[in-house]
Amino acid sequence: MDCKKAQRLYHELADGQVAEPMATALRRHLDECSDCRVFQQRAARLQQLLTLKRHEQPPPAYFENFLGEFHRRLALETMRPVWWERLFSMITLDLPSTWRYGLAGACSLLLVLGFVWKASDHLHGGASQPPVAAVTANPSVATVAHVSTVSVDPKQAVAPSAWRTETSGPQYVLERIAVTPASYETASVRF
Amino acid sequence: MTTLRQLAQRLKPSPVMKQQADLTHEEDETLVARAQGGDASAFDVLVERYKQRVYATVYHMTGNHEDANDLVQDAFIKAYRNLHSFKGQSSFYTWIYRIAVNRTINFLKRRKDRGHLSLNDMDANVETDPDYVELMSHITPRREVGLNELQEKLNEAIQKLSEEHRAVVIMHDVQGMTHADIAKVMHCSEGTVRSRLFYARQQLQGLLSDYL
Repeated sequence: MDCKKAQRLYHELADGQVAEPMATALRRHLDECSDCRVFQQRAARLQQLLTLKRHEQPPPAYFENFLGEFHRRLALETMRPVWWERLFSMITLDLPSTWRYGLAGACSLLLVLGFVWKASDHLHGGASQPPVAAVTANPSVATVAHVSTVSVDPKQAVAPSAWRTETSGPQYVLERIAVTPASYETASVRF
Repeated sequence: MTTLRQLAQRLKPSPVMKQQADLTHEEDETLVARAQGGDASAFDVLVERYKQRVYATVYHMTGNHEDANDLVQDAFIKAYRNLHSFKGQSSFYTWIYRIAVNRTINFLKRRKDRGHLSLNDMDANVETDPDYVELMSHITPRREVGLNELQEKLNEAIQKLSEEHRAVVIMHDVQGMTHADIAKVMHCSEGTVRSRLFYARQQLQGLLSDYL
Protein backbone atom coordinates (compact mmCIF):
# COMPACT_ATOMS: atom_id res chain seq x y z
CA MET A 1 0.00 0.00 0.00
CA ASP A 2 1.39 3.41 -0.90
CA CYS A 3 1.59 6.29 1.59
CA LYS A 4 -0.91 8.51 -0.25
CA LYS A 5 -3.60 5.88 -0.13
CA ALA A 6 -2.76 5.02 3.48
CA GLN A 7 -3.06 8.66 4.54
CA ARG A 8 -6.36 9.01 2.76
CA LEU A 9 -7.69 5.87 4.35
CA TYR A 10 -6.41 6.68 7.82
CA HIS A 11 -9.33 9.00 8.54
CA GLU A 12 -11.74 6.36 7.33
CA LEU A 13 -10.04 3.85 9.63
CA ALA A 14 -10.41 6.23 12.58
CA ASP A 15 -14.11 6.56 11.71
CA GLY A 16 -14.44 2.76 11.59
CA GLN A 17 -15.32 2.87 7.91
CA VAL A 18 -12.56 0.60 6.53
CA ALA A 19 -13.49 -3.04 6.20
CA GLU A 20 -11.19 -6.06 6.52
CA PRO A 21 -8.73 -7.04 5.05
CA MET A 22 -7.99 -3.42 4.03
CA ALA A 23 -7.96 -2.35 7.69
CA THR A 24 -5.28 -4.92 8.58
CA ALA A 25 -3.17 -3.92 5.58
CA LEU A 26 -3.46 -0.29 6.59
CA ARG A 27 -2.44 -0.98 10.20
CA ARG A 28 0.53 -2.97 8.96
CA HIS A 29 1.57 -0.09 6.73
CA LEU A 30 1.32 2.35 9.63
CA ASP A 31 3.56 0.07 11.74
CA GLU A 32 6.16 -0.02 9.02
CA CYS A 33 6.11 3.56 7.68
CA SER A 34 7.41 6.28 10.00
CA ASP A 35 6.13 9.14 7.78
CA CYS A 36 2.63 7.76 7.89
CA ARG A 37 2.88 7.27 11.64
CA VAL A 38 3.73 10.94 12.08
CA PHE A 39 0.77 11.80 9.83
CA GLN A 40 -1.46 9.52 11.84
CA GLN A 41 -0.40 11.09 15.16
CA ARG A 42 -1.02 14.60 13.87
CA ALA A 43 -4.37 13.60 12.43
CA ALA A 44 -5.34 12.05 15.76
CA ARG A 45 -4.43 15.25 17.63
CA LEU A 46 -6.40 17.34 15.19
CA GLN A 47 -9.33 15.01 15.67
CA GLN A 48 -9.12 15.39 19.46
CA LEU A 49 -8.86 19.15 19.16
CA LEU A 50 -11.93 19.26 16.94
CA THR A 51 -13.85 16.99 19.30
CA LEU A 52 -13.03 19.30 22.22
CA LYS A 53 -14.81 22.12 20.41
CA ARG A 54 -18.01 20.57 21.72
CA HIS A 55 -17.10 22.09 25.07
CA GLU A 56 -17.08 25.58 23.60
CA GLN A 57 -20.37 26.84 24.96
CA PRO A 58 -22.08 30.20 25.13
CA PRO A 59 -22.73 31.73 28.58
CA PRO A 60 -25.20 29.65 30.69
CA ALA A 61 -28.14 32.06 30.33
CA TYR A 62 -27.64 32.44 26.59
CA PHE A 63 -30.63 30.36 25.51
CA GLU A 64 -33.01 31.46 28.26
CA ASN A 65 -34.86 33.95 26.10
CA PHE A 66 -34.35 32.17 22.79
CA LEU A 67 -37.99 31.16 22.41
CA GLY A 68 -39.24 34.62 23.41
CA GLU A 69 -36.93 36.18 20.85
CA PHE A 70 -38.17 33.69 18.25
CA HIS A 71 -41.78 34.73 18.89
CA ARG A 72 -40.88 38.41 18.78
CA ARG A 73 -39.09 38.03 15.44
CA LEU A 74 -41.86 35.84 14.04
CA ALA A 75 -44.46 38.49 14.93
CA LEU A 76 -42.33 41.19 13.27
CA GLU A 77 -41.86 39.00 10.21
CA THR A 78 -45.59 38.39 9.95
CA MET A 79 -46.37 42.09 10.21
CA ARG A 80 -43.74 43.07 7.66
CA PRO A 81 -45.42 43.85 4.33
CA VAL A 82 -44.46 41.91 1.21
CA TRP A 83 -42.46 43.63 -1.55
CA TRP A 84 -45.38 44.93 -3.58
CA GLU A 85 -47.02 46.33 -0.46
CA ARG A 86 -43.77 48.10 0.41
CA LEU A 87 -43.50 49.46 -3.13
CA PHE A 88 -47.09 50.67 -3.06
CA SER A 89 -46.69 52.35 0.30
CA MET A 90 -43.48 54.00 -0.90
CA ILE A 91 -45.30 55.46 -3.90
CA THR A 92 -48.35 56.60 -2.00
CA LEU A 93 -47.04 57.60 1.38
CA ASP A 94 -43.33 57.94 1.91
CA LEU A 95 -42.32 60.08 -1.04
CA PRO A 96 -42.65 63.89 -0.97
CA SER A 97 -45.61 65.22 -2.95
CA THR A 98 -43.42 66.62 -5.78
CA TRP A 99 -41.85 63.17 -6.24
CA ARG A 100 -45.26 61.56 -6.25
CA TYR A 101 -46.54 63.93 -8.95
CA GLY A 102 -43.37 63.44 -10.95
CA LEU A 103 -43.60 59.67 -10.69
CA ALA A 104 -47.30 59.73 -11.63
CA GLY A 105 -46.52 62.01 -14.61
CA ALA A 106 -43.71 59.75 -15.79
CA CYS A 107 -45.97 56.71 -15.58
CA SER A 108 -48.72 58.52 -17.53
CA LEU A 109 -46.23 59.64 -20.20
CA LEU A 110 -44.98 56.09 -20.56
CA LEU A 111 -48.54 54.86 -20.96
CA VAL A 112 -49.34 57.51 -23.62
CA LEU A 113 -46.09 56.79 -25.51
CA GLY A 114 -46.84 53.10 -25.44
CA PHE A 115 -50.33 53.72 -26.77
CA VAL A 116 -49.09 56.04 -29.55
CA TRP A 117 -46.40 53.60 -30.61
CA LYS A 118 -48.86 50.76 -30.72
CA ALA A 119 -51.40 52.84 -32.67
CA SER A 120 -48.84 54.04 -35.26
CA ASP A 121 -47.63 50.47 -35.75
CA HIS A 122 -51.20 49.42 -36.43
CA LEU A 123 -51.85 52.31 -38.88
CA HIS A 124 -48.73 51.67 -40.97
CA GLY A 125 -49.82 48.09 -41.32
CA GLY A 126 -46.53 46.51 -40.67
CA ALA A 127 -44.33 49.25 -42.17
CA SER A 128 -41.95 48.47 -39.42
CA GLN A 129 -41.73 44.88 -40.63
CA PRO A 130 -38.46 43.91 -42.28
CA PRO A 131 -38.31 44.31 -46.10
CA VAL A 132 -39.73 41.54 -48.23
CA ALA A 133 -37.19 38.84 -48.85
CA ALA A 134 -36.68 37.73 -52.43
CA VAL A 135 -35.82 34.12 -53.04
CA THR A 136 -34.00 33.29 -56.26
CA ALA A 137 -35.75 30.66 -58.26
CA ASN A 138 -32.61 28.91 -59.37
CA PRO A 139 -33.18 25.15 -59.46
CA SER A 140 -29.48 24.39 -59.03
CA VAL A 141 -29.52 25.94 -55.61
CA ALA A 142 -32.88 24.64 -54.63
CA THR A 143 -31.70 23.42 -51.30
CA VAL A 144 -30.15 26.69 -50.27
CA ALA A 145 -32.33 29.74 -50.17
CA HIS A 146 -30.49 32.90 -51.20
CA VAL A 147 -32.18 35.69 -49.45
CA SER A 148 -31.45 39.25 -50.42
CA THR A 149 -33.10 42.30 -49.07
CA VAL A 150 -34.45 44.88 -51.50
CA SER A 151 -34.68 48.51 -50.60
CA VAL A 152 -38.03 49.77 -51.72
CA ASP A 153 -38.67 53.32 -52.91
CA PRO A 154 -42.29 54.17 -52.13
CA LYS A 155 -42.65 56.01 -55.54
CA GLN A 156 -41.32 53.03 -57.50
CA ALA A 157 -43.56 50.69 -55.65
CA VAL A 158 -46.66 52.33 -57.09
CA ALA A 159 -47.51 51.89 -60.80
CA PRO A 160 -46.78 55.03 -62.92
CA SER A 161 -50.37 55.03 -64.14
CA ALA A 162 -51.47 55.94 -60.69
CA TRP A 163 -49.19 58.96 -60.47
CA ARG A 164 -50.84 62.28 -60.35
CA THR A 165 -49.13 65.39 -61.61
CA GLU A 166 -50.04 69.04 -61.33
CA THR A 167 -51.11 69.30 -65.01
CA SER A 168 -52.99 66.13 -65.57
CA GLY A 169 -55.75 64.49 -63.72
CA PRO A 170 -55.36 61.08 -62.19
CA GLN A 171 -54.69 58.18 -64.53
CA TYR A 172 -55.97 54.74 -63.85
CA VAL A 173 -54.61 51.37 -64.72
CA LEU A 174 -57.55 50.37 -66.95
CA GLU A 175 -57.07 53.40 -69.22
CA ARG A 176 -53.67 52.09 -70.35
CA ILE A 177 -54.70 48.52 -70.96
CA ALA A 178 -54.93 47.82 -74.70
CA VAL A 179 -57.16 44.83 -74.54
CA THR A 180 -60.85 45.25 -74.12
CA PRO A 181 -62.11 44.19 -70.81
CA ALA A 182 -64.19 41.03 -70.90
CA SER A 183 -67.16 42.88 -69.57
CA TYR A 184 -67.30 45.20 -72.65
CA GLU A 185 -69.46 43.47 -75.26
CA THR A 186 -68.75 44.29 -78.93
CA ALA A 187 -71.50 45.61 -81.17
CA SER A 188 -71.06 42.63 -83.55
CA VAL A 189 -72.62 40.30 -81.13
CA ARG A 190 -76.13 39.69 -82.04
CA PHE A 191 -78.81 37.69 -80.36
CA MET B 1 -50.82 42.69 50.44
CA THR B 2 -50.24 39.52 48.55
CA THR B 3 -51.46 36.49 50.37
CA LEU B 4 -49.79 33.10 50.18
CA ARG B 5 -52.71 31.76 48.13
CA GLN B 6 -52.37 34.56 45.57
CA LEU B 7 -48.64 33.89 45.32
CA ALA B 8 -49.28 30.18 44.77
CA GLN B 9 -51.87 31.05 42.14
CA ARG B 10 -49.33 33.19 40.33
CA LEU B 11 -46.67 30.49 40.41
CA LYS B 12 -49.07 27.87 39.15
CA PRO B 13 -48.15 26.91 35.56
CA SER B 14 -50.43 28.37 32.94
CA PRO B 15 -52.41 25.98 30.68
CA VAL B 16 -50.08 26.84 27.79
CA MET B 17 -46.99 25.94 29.81
CA LYS B 18 -48.65 22.74 30.99
CA GLN B 19 -49.55 21.79 27.43
CA GLN B 20 -45.99 22.47 26.29
CA ALA B 21 -44.62 20.33 29.10
CA ASP B 22 -46.89 17.50 27.98
CA LEU B 23 -45.55 17.74 24.45
CA THR B 24 -41.86 17.54 25.36
CA HIS B 25 -41.93 13.74 25.29
CA GLU B 26 -43.58 13.55 21.90
CA GLU B 27 -41.72 12.36 18.79
CA ASP B 28 -40.65 14.89 16.15
CA GLU B 29 -43.18 13.52 13.64
CA THR B 30 -46.06 14.05 16.07
CA LEU B 31 -44.93 17.55 16.90
CA VAL B 32 -44.54 18.45 13.24
CA ALA B 33 -48.01 17.12 12.46
CA ARG B 34 -49.49 19.12 15.34
CA ALA B 35 -47.62 22.26 14.29
CA GLN B 36 -48.85 21.80 10.72
CA GLY B 37 -52.35 21.58 12.14
CA GLY B 38 -51.90 24.99 13.78
CA ASP B 39 -50.58 24.07 17.23
CA ALA B 40 -47.84 26.66 17.71
CA SER B 41 -46.78 25.22 21.07
CA ALA B 42 -45.74 21.99 19.30
CA PHE B 43 -43.31 23.99 17.17
CA ASP B 44 -42.01 25.68 20.34
CA VAL B 45 -41.04 22.25 21.64
CA LEU B 46 -39.12 21.57 18.41
CA VAL B 47 -37.33 24.91 18.77
CA GLU B 48 -36.39 24.08 22.35
CA ARG B 49 -35.23 20.62 21.30
CA TYR B 50 -32.88 21.66 18.50
CA LYS B 51 -31.85 25.25 19.25
CA GLN B 52 -28.58 24.37 20.97
CA ARG B 53 -27.41 21.83 18.41
CA VAL B 54 -28.25 24.05 15.45
CA TYR B 55 -26.68 27.02 17.21
CA ALA B 56 -23.47 25.06 17.86
CA THR B 57 -23.07 24.17 14.18
CA VAL B 58 -23.81 27.67 12.95
CA TYR B 59 -21.61 29.23 15.63
CA HIS B 60 -18.63 27.04 14.67
CA MET B 61 -19.16 27.96 11.03
CA THR B 62 -19.35 31.71 11.59
CA GLY B 63 -17.10 31.97 14.66
CA ASN B 64 -19.38 34.70 15.94
CA HIS B 65 -22.15 34.80 18.56
CA GLU B 66 -24.35 37.51 17.08
CA ASP B 67 -24.30 36.14 13.55
CA ALA B 68 -24.99 32.64 14.83
CA ASN B 69 -27.94 33.82 16.90
CA ASP B 70 -29.46 35.76 13.99
CA LEU B 71 -28.98 32.89 11.55
CA VAL B 72 -30.49 30.29 13.88
CA GLN B 73 -33.49 32.51 14.62
CA ASP B 74 -33.96 33.08 10.88
CA ALA B 75 -33.69 29.36 10.21
CA PHE B 76 -36.45 28.54 12.72
CA ILE B 77 -38.65 31.33 11.37
CA LYS B 78 -38.18 30.06 7.82
CA ALA B 79 -38.93 26.52 8.98
CA TYR B 80 -42.11 27.67 10.72
CA ARG B 81 -43.33 29.63 7.71
CA ASN B 82 -42.61 26.74 5.34
CA LEU B 83 -43.88 24.01 7.60
CA HIS B 84 -46.70 23.25 5.14
CA SER B 85 -44.08 22.23 2.55
CA PHE B 86 -42.39 19.74 4.90
CA LYS B 87 -43.56 16.35 3.68
CA GLY B 88 -41.66 14.24 6.16
CA GLN B 89 -39.40 12.63 3.56
CA SER B 90 -36.46 13.42 5.84
CA SER B 91 -36.44 13.92 9.58
CA PHE B 92 -37.24 17.35 11.01
CA TYR B 93 -33.74 17.39 12.44
CA THR B 94 -32.18 17.00 8.96
CA TRP B 95 -34.59 19.57 7.54
CA ILE B 96 -33.89 22.29 10.09
CA TYR B 97 -30.16 21.59 9.78
CA ARG B 98 -30.38 21.97 6.02
CA ILE B 99 -32.13 25.32 6.33
CA ALA B 100 -29.66 26.59 8.92
CA VAL B 101 -26.54 25.36 7.10
CA ASN B 102 -27.69 26.69 3.71
CA ARG B 103 -28.49 30.08 5.20
CA THR B 104 -25.11 30.14 6.93
CA ILE B 105 -23.25 29.20 3.76
CA ASN B 106 -25.07 31.94 1.81
CA PHE B 107 -24.36 34.41 4.59
CA LEU B 108 -20.66 33.54 4.65
CA LYS B 109 -20.41 33.84 0.87
CA ARG B 110 -21.99 37.29 0.98
CA ARG B 111 -19.81 38.41 3.85
CA LYS B 112 -16.69 39.85 2.26
CA ASP B 113 -14.38 39.88 5.26
CA ARG B 114 -14.15 37.10 7.81
CA GLY B 115 -15.74 39.30 10.46
CA HIS B 116 -14.57 39.26 14.03
CA LEU B 117 -14.40 36.06 16.02
CA SER B 118 -16.26 36.13 19.32
CA LEU B 119 -15.31 32.82 20.77
CA ASN B 120 -17.06 30.98 23.54
CA ASP B 121 -15.06 29.74 26.50
CA MET B 122 -14.60 26.06 27.18
CA ASP B 123 -16.96 24.73 29.77
CA ALA B 124 -15.70 23.25 33.04
CA ASN B 125 -16.18 19.66 31.85
CA VAL B 126 -13.41 19.92 29.30
CA GLU B 127 -10.68 18.94 31.76
CA THR B 128 -12.34 15.60 32.46
CA ASP B 129 -12.80 14.80 28.78
CA PRO B 130 -10.61 11.79 27.78
CA ASP B 131 -9.73 13.56 24.52
CA TYR B 132 -8.42 16.52 26.50
CA VAL B 133 -6.38 14.34 28.85
CA GLU B 134 -4.84 12.40 25.96
CA LEU B 135 -4.19 15.50 23.89
CA MET B 136 -2.46 17.31 26.74
CA SER B 137 -0.35 14.30 27.71
CA HIS B 138 0.89 13.52 24.21
CA ILE B 139 1.05 16.90 22.56
CA THR B 140 4.54 17.95 21.60
CA PRO B 141 4.07 21.20 19.76
CA ARG B 142 6.96 23.15 18.37
CA ARG B 143 5.57 26.09 20.31
CA GLU B 144 4.39 25.84 23.89
CA VAL B 145 0.71 26.76 23.87
CA GLY B 146 -2.23 26.27 26.19
CA LEU B 147 -5.52 24.72 25.18
CA ASN B 148 -7.24 28.08 24.80
CA GLU B 149 -4.60 29.37 22.41
CA LEU B 150 -4.73 26.08 20.55
CA GLN B 151 -8.50 26.42 20.20
CA GLU B 152 -8.06 29.97 18.97
CA LYS B 153 -5.60 28.81 16.31
CA LEU B 154 -7.96 26.03 15.34
CA ASN B 155 -10.87 28.46 15.00
CA GLU B 156 -8.78 30.75 12.82
CA ALA B 157 -7.79 27.78 10.67
CA ILE B 158 -11.41 26.65 10.35
CA GLN B 159 -12.39 30.12 9.14
CA LYS B 160 -9.86 29.73 6.30
CA LEU B 161 -11.67 26.71 4.90
CA SER B 162 -14.28 27.13 2.18
CA GLU B 163 -17.90 27.29 3.43
CA GLU B 164 -18.74 23.78 2.23
CA HIS B 165 -15.59 22.19 3.69
CA ARG B 166 -16.13 24.03 6.95
CA ALA B 167 -19.71 22.83 7.21
CA VAL B 168 -18.72 19.21 6.61
CA VAL B 169 -15.82 19.15 9.09
CA ILE B 170 -17.94 20.80 11.79
CA MET B 171 -20.95 18.56 11.31
CA HIS B 172 -18.78 15.42 11.32
CA ASP B 173 -15.85 16.06 13.64
CA VAL B 174 -17.43 18.51 16.07
CA GLN B 175 -21.10 17.56 16.04
CA GLY B 176 -20.54 13.86 15.43
CA MET B 177 -23.05 13.53 12.59
CA THR B 178 -22.83 10.56 10.22
CA HIS B 179 -21.77 10.80 6.58
CA ALA B 180 -25.30 9.85 5.53
CA ASP B 181 -26.93 12.62 7.57
CA ILE B 182 -24.43 15.20 6.33
CA ALA B 183 -25.09 14.09 2.75
CA LYS B 184 -28.81 14.69 3.29
CA VAL B 185 -28.20 18.11 4.83
CA MET B 186 -25.77 19.19 2.12
CA HIS B 187 -27.76 17.62 -0.75
CA CYS B 188 -24.76 15.69 -2.03
CA SER B 189 -23.46 12.11 -2.10
CA GLU B 190 -21.70 10.41 0.79
CA GLY B 191 -18.62 10.17 -1.44
CA THR B 192 -18.58 13.96 -1.74
CA VAL B 193 -18.88 14.27 2.03
CA ARG B 194 -15.89 11.92 2.52
CA SER B 195 -13.86 13.75 -0.07
CA ARG B 196 -14.61 17.17 1.46
CA LEU B 197 -13.83 15.83 4.91
CA PHE B 198 -10.46 14.50 3.80
CA TYR B 199 -9.54 17.73 2.06
CA ALA B 200 -10.66 19.88 5.02
CA ARG B 201 -8.68 17.83 7.53
CA GLN B 202 -5.62 17.91 5.32
CA GLN B 203 -5.87 21.69 5.09
CA LEU B 204 -6.33 22.04 8.83
CA GLN B 205 -3.33 19.82 9.49
CA GLY B 206 -1.26 21.99 7.18
CA LEU B 207 -2.44 25.23 8.80
CA LEU B 208 -1.82 23.90 12.31
CA SER B 209 1.40 22.06 11.59
CA ASP B 210 3.30 24.14 14.17
CA TYR B 211 0.86 23.28 16.91
CA LEU B 212 0.14 19.59 16.42
